Amino acid sequence: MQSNLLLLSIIFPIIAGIIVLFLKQSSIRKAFIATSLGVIVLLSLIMLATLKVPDIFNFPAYYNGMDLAIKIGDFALLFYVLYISFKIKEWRATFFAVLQLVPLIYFEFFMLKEHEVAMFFVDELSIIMNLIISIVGSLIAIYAFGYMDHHEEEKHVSPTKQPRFFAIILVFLGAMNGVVFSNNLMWIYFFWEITTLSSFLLIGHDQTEEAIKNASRALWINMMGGVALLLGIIFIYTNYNTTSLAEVLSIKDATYILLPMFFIAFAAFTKSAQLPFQSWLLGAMVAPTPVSALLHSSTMVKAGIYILLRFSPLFRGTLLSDFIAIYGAFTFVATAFLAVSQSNAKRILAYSTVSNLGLMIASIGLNTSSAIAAAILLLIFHAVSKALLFLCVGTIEQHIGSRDIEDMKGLINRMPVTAAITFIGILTLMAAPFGMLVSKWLIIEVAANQILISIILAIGSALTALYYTRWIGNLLSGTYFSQHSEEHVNPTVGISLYSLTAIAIALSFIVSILYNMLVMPQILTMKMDVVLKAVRGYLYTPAGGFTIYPIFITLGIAIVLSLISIRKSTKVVVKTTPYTAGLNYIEDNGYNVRNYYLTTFANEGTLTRYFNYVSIALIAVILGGALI
Amino acid sequence: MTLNEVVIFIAAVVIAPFIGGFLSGIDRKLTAFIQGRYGPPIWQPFYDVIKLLYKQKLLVNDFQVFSAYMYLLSAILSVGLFALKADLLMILFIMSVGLVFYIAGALSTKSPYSQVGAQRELMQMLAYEPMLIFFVISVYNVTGSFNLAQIMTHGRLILDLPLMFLLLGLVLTIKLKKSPFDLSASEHAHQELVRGILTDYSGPYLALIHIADWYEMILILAMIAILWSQNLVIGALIALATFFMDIVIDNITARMTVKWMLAFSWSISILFTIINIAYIYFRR
Repeated sequence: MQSNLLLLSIIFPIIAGIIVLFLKQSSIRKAFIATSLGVIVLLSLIMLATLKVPDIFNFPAYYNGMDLAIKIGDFALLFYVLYISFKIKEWRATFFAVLQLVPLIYFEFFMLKEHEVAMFFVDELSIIMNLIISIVGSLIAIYAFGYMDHHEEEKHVSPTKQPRFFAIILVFLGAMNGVVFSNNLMWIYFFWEITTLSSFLLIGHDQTEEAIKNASRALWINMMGGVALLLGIIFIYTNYNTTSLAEVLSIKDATYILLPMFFIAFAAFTKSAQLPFQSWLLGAMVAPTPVSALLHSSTMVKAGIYILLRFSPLFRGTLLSDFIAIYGAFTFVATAFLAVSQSNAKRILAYSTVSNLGLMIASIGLNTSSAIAAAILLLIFHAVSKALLFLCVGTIEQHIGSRDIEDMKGLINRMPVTAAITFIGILTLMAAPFGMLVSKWLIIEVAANQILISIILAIGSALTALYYTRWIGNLLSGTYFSQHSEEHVNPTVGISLYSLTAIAIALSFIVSILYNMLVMPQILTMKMDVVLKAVRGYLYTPAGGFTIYPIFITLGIAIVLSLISIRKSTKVVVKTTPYTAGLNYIEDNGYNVRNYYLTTFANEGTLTRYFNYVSIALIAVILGGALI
Repeated sequence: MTLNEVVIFIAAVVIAPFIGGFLSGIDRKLTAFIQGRYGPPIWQPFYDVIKLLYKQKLLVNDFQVFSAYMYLLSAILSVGLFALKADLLMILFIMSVGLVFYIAGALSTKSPYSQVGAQRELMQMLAYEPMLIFFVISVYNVTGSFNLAQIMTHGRLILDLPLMFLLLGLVLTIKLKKSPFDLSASEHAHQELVRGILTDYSGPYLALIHIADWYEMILILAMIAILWSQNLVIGALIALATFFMDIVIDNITARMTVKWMLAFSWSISILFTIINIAYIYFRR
């Protein structure tokens, strides 16, 4: 029964995706997709409720069929990538595809001695990932209903390419479930490559020159990651004679594990778009907004974090782990710097995604039980809030035709609903008492005796506060004399924005329940002592504690007081214009002051180059850590 | 929360603004003395705030109101939690929530003065926030804890953290927007920025912000005071001495640029932190 559920959560989205390809009529297609998404969400909730984890699930009757299908799939996929790379003349992709094909052929036909391994390995981490993929992923897909209609209208796409679009999204979700549930490392590799391929197809969806260029960059960088993952698996097999994740995780003798771990970490870095691979994620923004939301929040980039978290017990307490922490912290602060210099909202979000992923990688590298807990909490909160923000920016862009935060000045008057939701979304990403900040607090406390890392983290968090605060200021700027307009929110867009906002706030509110139910058991599964405890909104370690409800209460009191203050004073209040030292204030031309972007010491081009050099050096250091 | 804790919380929250207002009264008197003026009465800050509270409400938009309340309430909460000896890093984060609203509120009014002031305040935040976290981290490296209760069992932290003490003095100057860091609100009024970030906060809401500033000043002073927690009277004297030093510096320096502030504060703070933490391990 339970293996059925797991199998279904992978196969169902893929089959649904294939069916969508053939549904030409818009209303039928939408109904079908909505139902499928409902099933996906339902499946994940049922699994959350019924699955006893951690455990191995097997389904012998289907094993051989599945395994064969995946083997054939592996080759089909690589040949397809070869075909694409010839078509778009992206020789780097060809190179890395060949680099995968050769070892794959050797491994599959000459090395691998067939033996059946269990199909699924599921623990709380898989369940968490599955929930994020299913719920956040589905909400993004729902949003795409409204968005894509508008998008195609705008770009005059006819006949509609939506069947293809939604088909790939569904396959993508299925493949992500495959990555997080599979026990056979070769299966993980296969699903990993599917996510690469589908992200290529999604980024290139609009088929403009820029889209194809950026999609091919995403393809070759992720193919490079695929090479690393494959090599990691082969090295594990040579040394330990197994491709079963559960067996790998219970390896006692860790002498030969570090080199494969380096390769797996490398794969994770490419997938999570860490420096110097960040360019593919930044380029991914040419795609329709739901794609960037999907890549940035719940799926693609989180696969990298997942795989690193998954293997983290194997390199706990090693030099490799310390170096990974430094590398992650560096990415965190470097991309935060880059984000400061940006005025393009999507680029700010993209850099902040890379930055937050760096923070997660840093805390995985710290590898203590609280650090892992912090990484998992960040993973959850980041997925929800970032998805929300991307969808908001997409909505704003369709409305005002710009994604520049300078053009978002006074948005609260033009698009009150979306601007308010964006404001809340930003708050949940940066301010106490919301989950992201609580996790950040935890990481800084965990890292406190590693001076280098904690100095970096302190600077990075200040930078984060900088670029989000001024965005809030821009969104909410306006006077009583600004032109106010009503906003019509597309129903499907509304559904997903409202639900994501509700989830973001609710999850922060129940952070202690979330921790006790899902994160703490995972820490135990990873055989660590639980240091962080949580009771009724109070998270504490022996060294310190964070309590969230007083801050929620403060927020509540502030809202009530200001409502009273505004309402009571409607009679006596004077609605005035901004102070302009006696000059006439004219609402429309206003006196817009551009934000400070610190471009003199945060110039994107130069900085990126230097940061890339440093990060390459750091990766070399990590390799050194694996070899010593 | 026990009854005892509630009493301590309320007491701290009630007393703090009185000390804060009184200190800023002394500040004005002393500054006047240095400048060869007679200066206002010691209680002038209270008169100002009371007068502001009863003034007519002049608003540019509704968000200003919420910002002012958020700034005040989170400052109150952080002082209260400090009195309850909670987690120092959490207190900093709560303080910064208020600041985010304070700045966003000023950015949201379309006055050029207020917007430039808010941008500069962001830069000031960028300068001192890392320093405060560095301070907390260094304290952790001495005491092994972030909880004030635990930290305060170490009687003479200042001997372990001499450089971090200097950093806190620097934070105080930036935080109080005093020269050479009076960038965001031009402390000595009638300058090109008018009142910078404060320009469009007026009447009762300006009063709220002044009170919140007092709370935040007390918070930083309290952080200095716990460096001598063995005898808090001595701790308080050290804090006061730092405060007076800052007033003197305020009167003998001219305003510097944003870029200089960032470069100065970051390089000094990173250097001091590393040296100080090395010193801690050396002393062991």
